[in-house]
Amino acid sequence: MIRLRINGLEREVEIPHPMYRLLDVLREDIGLTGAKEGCGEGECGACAVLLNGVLVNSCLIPASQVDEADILTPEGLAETEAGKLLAKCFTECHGAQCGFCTPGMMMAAAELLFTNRKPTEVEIREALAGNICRCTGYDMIIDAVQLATERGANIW
Amino acid sequence: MKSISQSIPRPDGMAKADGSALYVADLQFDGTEGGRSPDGAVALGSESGLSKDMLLGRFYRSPYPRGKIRRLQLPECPPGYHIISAADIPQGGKNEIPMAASRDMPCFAENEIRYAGQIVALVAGPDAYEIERLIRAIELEVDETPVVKNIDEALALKGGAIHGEDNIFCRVDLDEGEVDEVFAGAASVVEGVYETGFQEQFYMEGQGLIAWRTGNKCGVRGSMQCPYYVHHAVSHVLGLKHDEIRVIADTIGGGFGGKEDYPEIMGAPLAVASWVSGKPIRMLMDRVEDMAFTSKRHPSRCVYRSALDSEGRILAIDATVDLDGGAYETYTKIVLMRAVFHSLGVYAIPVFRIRGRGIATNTVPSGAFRGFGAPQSLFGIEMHMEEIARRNRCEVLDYKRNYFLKKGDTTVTGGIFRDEIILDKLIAEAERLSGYSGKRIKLGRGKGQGIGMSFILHGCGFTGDGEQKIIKGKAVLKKHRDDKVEILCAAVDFGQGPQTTFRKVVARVLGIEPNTVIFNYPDTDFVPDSGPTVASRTIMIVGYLLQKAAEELKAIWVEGEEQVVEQNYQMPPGMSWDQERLRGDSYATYGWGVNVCEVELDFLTWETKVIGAWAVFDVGRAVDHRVVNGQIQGGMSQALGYGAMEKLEVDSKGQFRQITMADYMVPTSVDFPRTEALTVDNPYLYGAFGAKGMGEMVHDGGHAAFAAAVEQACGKACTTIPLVPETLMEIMEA
Repeated sequence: MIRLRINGLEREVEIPHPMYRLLDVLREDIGLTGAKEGCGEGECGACAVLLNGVLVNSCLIPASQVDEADILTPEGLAETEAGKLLAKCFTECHGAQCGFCTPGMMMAAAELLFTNRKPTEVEIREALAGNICRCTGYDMIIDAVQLATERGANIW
Repeated sequence: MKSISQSIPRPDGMAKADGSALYVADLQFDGTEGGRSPDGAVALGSESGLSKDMLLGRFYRSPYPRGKIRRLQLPECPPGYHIISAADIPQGGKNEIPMAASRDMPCFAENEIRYAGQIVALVAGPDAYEIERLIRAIELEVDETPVVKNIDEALALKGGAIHGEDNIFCRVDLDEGEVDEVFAGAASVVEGVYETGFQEQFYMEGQGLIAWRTGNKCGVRGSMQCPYYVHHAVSHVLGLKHDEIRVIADTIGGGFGGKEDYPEIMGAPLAVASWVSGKPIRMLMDRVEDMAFTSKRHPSRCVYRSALDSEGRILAIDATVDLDGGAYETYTKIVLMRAVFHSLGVYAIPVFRIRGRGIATNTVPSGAFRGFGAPQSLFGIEMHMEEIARRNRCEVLDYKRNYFLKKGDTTVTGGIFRDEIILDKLIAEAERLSGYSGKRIKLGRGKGQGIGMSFILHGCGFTGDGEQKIIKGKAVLKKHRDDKVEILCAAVDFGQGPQTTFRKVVARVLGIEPNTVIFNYPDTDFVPDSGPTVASRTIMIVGYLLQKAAEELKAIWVEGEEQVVEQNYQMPPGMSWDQERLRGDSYATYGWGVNVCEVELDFLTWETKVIGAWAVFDVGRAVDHRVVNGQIQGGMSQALGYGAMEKLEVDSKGQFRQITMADYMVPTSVDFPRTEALTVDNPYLYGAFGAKGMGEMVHDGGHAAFAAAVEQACGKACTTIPLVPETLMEIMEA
């Protein structure tokens, strides 16, 4: 049994086996399916969440290591002003095509802007380099993050 | 009025960004029997396959690559578990996947194994660990035959023929004029061999489907491009009638062709298992299974020989186009047709002989991937033109210009290019954006820097009269009593944009807001068969049907009444095609494009660095600039990946070596610079608001522009892709 806070709510979760991952806790136990499993080996970033404010691939985090942790998932981000702004910018700039990488991209973009209010294009590209997108070629995702940077001056 | 091209926010964007869009792995039992989610987007309940007793399913795949099956021994099943194999196919059904052009692939292997990983059985049950135990307990004995790993071994008939007597699945031949005579009188001949490798589609969401049974009805839902293809496959394998099958497409995390054929290959055995067990079964492939066993782009080898006169002009081309089709024919014939029909690129060549062959090997059956044969043969012709221009000591752009097709010219199949061809305008824009010609001269040759330009044409829609004779697309608009308009068609948005563009087309005609138009993911219980979501046909063919339907609805609109209008596809006037002889108009129209790529080469590590990418296309008219530019930029990224980094090899058993995301390299956000994308209007009379197909041609030329740039940078011919550092090192040290 672990206790952790997910999107601001206290949760208790049974861990059925040592290989149980934070991604399983989110998707199976809590029913939060915003974080996606793209590869299951930490390469693609589709399962990205913030763990105590730090961007992680939740498929690589053993559930047993997140006792007492604070987790922000795409659903939690979407409730915040920052998340709403980012979602709107991704939608306007067509930063989402198939959408499967998008929640993870949103998490990576949020972590970047929370720590760097005015990133350059190079900094944006580096911050998103752990999230693979096969649809967009990344350009419109960069556009979306740049738009969020401009519009969210008072948020970040 | 604003141009229809002016972009709107994606109607499907918010749900994707906030994580609320439900993909097949996200679907959960909600306690209801049926119905749809409040926004109408998702079919819910046990009637739609979502019930609390849903089982997990996994395939048992052959560990052997090739041989006769001697014995298949299935273990005892504990209660609640099911093992399904060929013997379970019900009476009236057939153990074959009914593909568009062939039926040679069985649903479950029965007599022989043709590739390592071939589906032999399906194990379903509630617990993944028990399923794993049962899979390990299956015993398969095979009298093994030597494995054929590539085109050369296939043509040498290693281990005897896999298919027929010669390992040739299919041939596509084109002839014009007296080739041998022209070659006999030629001043010189230029010959080159051009090779491309496997390519993985790498959609971010792995393959995933749910199959279920409600009484005498079988359902399949999940991640797919073509619900009616799956419908047809299930009907064939189970022997069920049309209205005894229901197929629902869910939100899909990318396709690129990889979810054109594979959902049939996966859905048919899954449907058998669900039908026999009576239980809903969900099968989600993990990344390794997906990369190891789903269909890839056909590897190719093209040999081009050109007969030149004493001035260096091309008199005739004699070419072969060989595709590695893998273990079963599946889609190879139609991929080969497209490869051959595009094999002379944008050039008018008076005399030619093209010999295309689809070849059987013991690798995973090759299948659909964006471009569908065109990226292979266009690489061949573009690199060959580079070589001829070099021999002539002539700037390649100047040389190519001499052969550009014009309106009224004859196609390679004897049809007519009926529409304006605006290559000169596209080049002017590409020059303006990239500074190509100035750089090409300035950068010299073999000095570590280079810039390349490639040309693209892409036939839109199905080949020949396929739209008329095979697809017979139908689209419906339904106006509800509250005057909300609903689009009913089978087109799936897997990122390429019809959720945006179809709404815009209908809304523009009716003078309503795009966001008020209802357009759910297709459910075959409710939508007509408008055809598969493939072949750059969606906006041009289905979009045009919807435009016509909207015009009709507008003319008869009565407030407060339910009204339904239907439109059926009709071949554009004047178009003709002879499928037996492959003569006539192979495509209704063509998209055109110019790609430019600039590179730097590291002479120590042989790494290439792309420092600029530009793409200018004639897509008829863009129904939404951002949708179209998003395709152009995403397509360029995939094509540069294809040319520069996406290496996929097979081992001694014909199995892929790169089966994880760590081994198979696709572009990340730091690998390539922004693609500067532009379109030039050239409206097509029979496409939605002038739109032509464009989803595929954006992947047709980036790799050739890249390779041409690398040739300039390194000073040697680069005729094989991907040009990874080890390949370049071999070229430079040869």
